Amino acid sequence: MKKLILIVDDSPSIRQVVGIALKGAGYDVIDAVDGKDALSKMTGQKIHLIISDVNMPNMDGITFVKEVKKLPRYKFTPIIMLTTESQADKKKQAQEAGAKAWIVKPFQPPQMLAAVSKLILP
Amino acid sequence: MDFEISHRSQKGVCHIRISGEMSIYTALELKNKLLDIFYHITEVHSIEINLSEVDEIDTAGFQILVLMKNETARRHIALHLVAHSNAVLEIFSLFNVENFFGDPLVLPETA
Amino acid sequence: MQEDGWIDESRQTFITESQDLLVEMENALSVMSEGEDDEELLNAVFRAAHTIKGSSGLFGFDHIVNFTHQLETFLDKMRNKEITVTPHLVQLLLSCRDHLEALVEEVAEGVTKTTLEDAGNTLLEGLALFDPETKKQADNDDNDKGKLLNERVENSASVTRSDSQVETDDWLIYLKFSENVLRNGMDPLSFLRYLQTIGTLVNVTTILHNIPDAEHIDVESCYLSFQISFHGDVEKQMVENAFEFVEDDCDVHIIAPHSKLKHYVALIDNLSEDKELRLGEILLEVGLLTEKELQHALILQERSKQEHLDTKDEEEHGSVLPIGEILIEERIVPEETVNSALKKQQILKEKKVQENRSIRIDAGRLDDLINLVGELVIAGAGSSMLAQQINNEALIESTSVVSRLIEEIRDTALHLRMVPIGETFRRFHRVVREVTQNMDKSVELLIEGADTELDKTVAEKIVDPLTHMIRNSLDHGIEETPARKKAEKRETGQIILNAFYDSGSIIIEVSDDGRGVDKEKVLAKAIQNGLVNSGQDLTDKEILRLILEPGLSTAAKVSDLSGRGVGMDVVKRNLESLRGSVEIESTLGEGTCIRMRLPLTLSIIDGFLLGVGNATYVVPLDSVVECIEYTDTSVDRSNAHYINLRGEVLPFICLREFFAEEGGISQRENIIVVQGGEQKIGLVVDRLLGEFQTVIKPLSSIFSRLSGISGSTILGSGEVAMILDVAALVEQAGKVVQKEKPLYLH
Repeated sequence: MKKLILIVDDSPSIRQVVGIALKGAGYDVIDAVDGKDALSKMTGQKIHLIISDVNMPNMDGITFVKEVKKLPRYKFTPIIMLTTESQADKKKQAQEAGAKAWIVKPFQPPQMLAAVSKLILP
Repeated sequence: MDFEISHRSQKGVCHIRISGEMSIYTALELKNKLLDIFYHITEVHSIEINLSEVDEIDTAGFQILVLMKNETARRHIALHLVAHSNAVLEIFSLFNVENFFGDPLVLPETA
Repeated sequence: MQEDGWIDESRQTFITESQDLLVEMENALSVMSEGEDDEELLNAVFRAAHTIKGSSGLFGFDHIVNFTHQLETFLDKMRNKEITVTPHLVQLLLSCRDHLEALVEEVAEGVTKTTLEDAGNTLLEGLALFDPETKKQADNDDNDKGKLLNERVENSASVTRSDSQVETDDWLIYLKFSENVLRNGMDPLSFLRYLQTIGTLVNVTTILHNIPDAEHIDVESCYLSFQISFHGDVEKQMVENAFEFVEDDCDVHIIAPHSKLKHYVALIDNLSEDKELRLGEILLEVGLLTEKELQHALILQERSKQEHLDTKDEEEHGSVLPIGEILIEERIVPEETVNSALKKQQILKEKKVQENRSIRIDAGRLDDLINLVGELVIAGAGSSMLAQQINNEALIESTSVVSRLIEEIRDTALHLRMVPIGETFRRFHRVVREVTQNMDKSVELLIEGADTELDKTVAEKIVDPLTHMIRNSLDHGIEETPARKKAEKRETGQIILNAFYDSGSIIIEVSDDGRGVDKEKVLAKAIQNGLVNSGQDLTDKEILRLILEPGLSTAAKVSDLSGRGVGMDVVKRNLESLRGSVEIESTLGEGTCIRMRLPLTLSIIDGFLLGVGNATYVVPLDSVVECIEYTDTSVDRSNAHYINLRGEVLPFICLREFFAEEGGISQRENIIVVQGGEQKIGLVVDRLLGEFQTVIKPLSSIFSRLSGISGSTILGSGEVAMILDVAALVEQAGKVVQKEKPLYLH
């Protein structure tokens, strides 16, 4: 059974690159442009891991993580945040909200795949 | 919830079948249901749990299997896990706990 | 950077100085622990802490500043009797002193990041218990902490142990997950799976016995720990990286495989030997230990130290588990590598001893040497004289060679103690830079006279006064940029450090172009504090001198270094202990100049020999302006003490009278004109004997009150000559002039 990963980022190019890399590694991928979009797409799905940007319109990454943690179906789902080096405070907020993993942008696809495989269940 | 559990007792053996997901999301309900069955069985000397339809299992789910093993041992009831699904086999193999459960495993054919 | 170059050079100074202060502190505390309750003892402890804080600030050792600042605040409360002295408290203060020593040692070993912060905090927390203000709150905190500690200890005790570590060629990994790990969206399974992607899981032992029974289990909690043998050609950092996301939720211990051990042992052996490393650093350097593991081990070490403290067992007090033992015990690194690293450390240490080219010599021994050299000079002169008398050419030649060598020895010996002041001055660049960082001020530091040499002891002892003066200039002297603009001054303020010789003294000036001292304010404050009576008529100079009195800090708020009331009075006291003096000039709105005059104790000056009666005197050549013939026509000796020197009023002193010398009056007396500060005076002498390289020997304290004499020297003939204190003589002559109004001037 393929694992399903949700990628949330307002940048189409990031969604595309991450999507290609993940699919190449054998995962199924759905994507969303912001937190709100992501929440709506999560219902009725069985998502195994979430990768989310921090800065997004409509609903930012931190709020999104908090919302996810409220969902009975997803409250224990691993979340990887995409941060930049300068966002130390954001990282802290994200961790407090429940996202314990992060990737620092800019990143290479292999880095991201390593992070995913450290978190996703076999 | 994404799992089902059924059971029947026959000739002193209680047959339980778990199907679906044994994960942190289902763990609480799964534990309650299993214990409920366990506390209500009578004249049973062994329990057999069929895992063939467990398509997902994580550490929380795994710990429930260990819990059941411990609880049954305390009441001198044998616990046999049978027909392990691939998901279960994989976690058993990773955790290297085949000996703990002591059940014969049918390894999946390598593709 | 050039400016930073001095740090290494001067670090040794800082270390030596701090060690001396720590000895003083220990002595004072020891006396206190014997039940003496003397204010001066407490002051000594306080001053030592204060000075260490000041100089560690100079070097940017912020952690030392931080610790001493809090210690100092506490000591200050003790001085103000807000906290009572008890034997226990003195004991704790001794521990604080030891901690300071350890911090200084770290600096000496070149440790850039302190590992003792926890220990320091614990000590400070301990101090807080004695502070009535914080006692109650601290009590509560302490309870919580105790509980936490116990939990941690239990946790680590449950890590399973195996005796057969590192027998195989695999990495050994011990994982104990926290109960929260699953709730945080992470699963041990995925980490094991990930390890498979970078190597092979040879064997996994899952520890299941921590799973509670049905009644107590929380199915969302994780109760598992693992022992993993892992095979893979990877570096330790990479293995550790596998657990990066779970670091808060898992105790991870990684032990390198056996084959790696040989590799590591080899690496350790090949480590460069040009620096001394701590054990942890050696292991870190070869990659056997990761930064995180080292931190963990150090925390454990600290904790074990703490437990010893808690037991209050005198014998165990202070015994600390060596880091190597902890690393082995915690299965972070195998014993074999620890041992080889320890060996390496020993080699590095020995090497360092060999390479350490500067040695610390007790000043007293150096003084003894110089005294001996002085005697040698005299004895040498004696044998030269004899050789002349016998008139044996070969003997004369050989004694002259000996004399020359003796002179060289003398110069070398004296120079052992002399250092250029530039090194001392330059360290203040950093003070200026750092202090002004947080201020709306722009200040540049100019250095003049950097080559001026002075006695090393003097150079060391003026650091503290200089720090205070510069801090004062920065804090209160130089105005904020807007204020300077308004006053139409250059936006960048200037502080000038200057040093030069003046009549046998070294003058060190700290001047700034700031706002100057408000004399009225100082006077008002002094009257308020009862230092002067409101009716007293004071000259500007006298008012400015009030700044140097204790209890006259005009600073509104306490900053790190200045304004604590140990400001200028400490400066004055320090200088007095060096037999120096301070003078202040200040013009409101234009700036302030603080001038320190220090004796050149134990140094050489170029002197000018004068004969008065049967005695010989030396006047520093620097202060000599000119020599003129003294004739009766130039003055009426009986009623005036000044002459007309080309239209100038020149007060003079007849040394024969001044020192009550007897013996042959010369027919041709001379006046030697000397300058001290702004003032010139004449000295009437019998004979001018020419220049003479003078070794200044300080006067013993019996003679220190002798007016007009600053020291003595031994002439080649063995005769003792007094060195004239020109400044004092100038002052003396000035008094005479004030009494007898010069007749010419009307």
